[in-house]
Amino acid sequence: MTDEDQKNLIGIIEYLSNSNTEEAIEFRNKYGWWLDEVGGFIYTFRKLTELKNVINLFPTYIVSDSNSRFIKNVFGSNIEKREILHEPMFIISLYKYYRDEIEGYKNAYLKIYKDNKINLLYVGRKAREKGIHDAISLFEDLVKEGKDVRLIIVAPEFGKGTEEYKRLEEIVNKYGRGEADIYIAMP
Amino acid sequence: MNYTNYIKIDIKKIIELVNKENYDSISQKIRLYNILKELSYLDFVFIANIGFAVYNNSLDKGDLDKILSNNGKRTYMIMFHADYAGSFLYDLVIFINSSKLKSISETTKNKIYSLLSKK
Repeated sequence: MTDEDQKNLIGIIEYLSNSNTEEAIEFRNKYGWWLDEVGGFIYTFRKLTELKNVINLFPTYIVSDSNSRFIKNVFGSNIEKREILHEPMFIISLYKYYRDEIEGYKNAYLKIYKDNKINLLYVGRKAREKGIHDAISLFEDLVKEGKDVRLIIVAPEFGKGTEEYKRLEEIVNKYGRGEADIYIAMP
Repeated sequence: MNYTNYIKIDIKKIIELVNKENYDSISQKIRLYNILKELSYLDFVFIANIGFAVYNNSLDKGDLDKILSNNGKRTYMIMFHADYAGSFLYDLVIFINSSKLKSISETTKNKIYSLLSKK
């Protein structure tokens, strides 16, 4: 999100937290617990901007950039020391230690999908930093090359109205091949 | 736990004892008060998730202040796992799509969808 979009998001959250309009009051009645959670994060972020001897660790550059800009856009000041861990290396470590479990899940999916299509599996939120756009681009490249490919997505909030859902529909309609199976999972 | 269980490799017995140790009596041994007290002596604190204070109902702002109190020499390492602005936006999208909000206006919905479309 750009700085301007982050500020607009903060504006929406503040409006829902404080306004006396009918919709804001209803939101607080239904989702007051969520506003409390957001408030908890904001409070924690503010504490971090006050601490001088704290090292903030982030899994990727995108997560580091987004959070540090968000904190600056909320408070005007920022957290100081940031270290990026580069998550792909972490994933390689996961594979090293959880190889058997990963093979187990892979075999379970292969029992469902017994044909000879190329299966791409994406599990996670449909967020840029998680690689959803990379997965869709790869799917498109393979479809464009004429490959018989299926993209299996397990994600929360992947309804028909989402930009990514529409993009997948466009790809399948445009090339007349490719398959996207979407499983909606609770976050 | 009896060390001879390890020697005999009696796995069932070991699991039974570990479960008893962890779930029957741990709350009697370590309480939030103990953690906060111990933290006051530590020079280095690693916090594995920035959301620790938010998701743990036993913590309030006063406790968080104690944990993050800066005595000038303590070093903290804190992990962020998500893009929180993005997460908050996705949460809002889920809420306005949930049909639980009867009064939500088209203006507010459009503002949220507009942010989503640019993400």
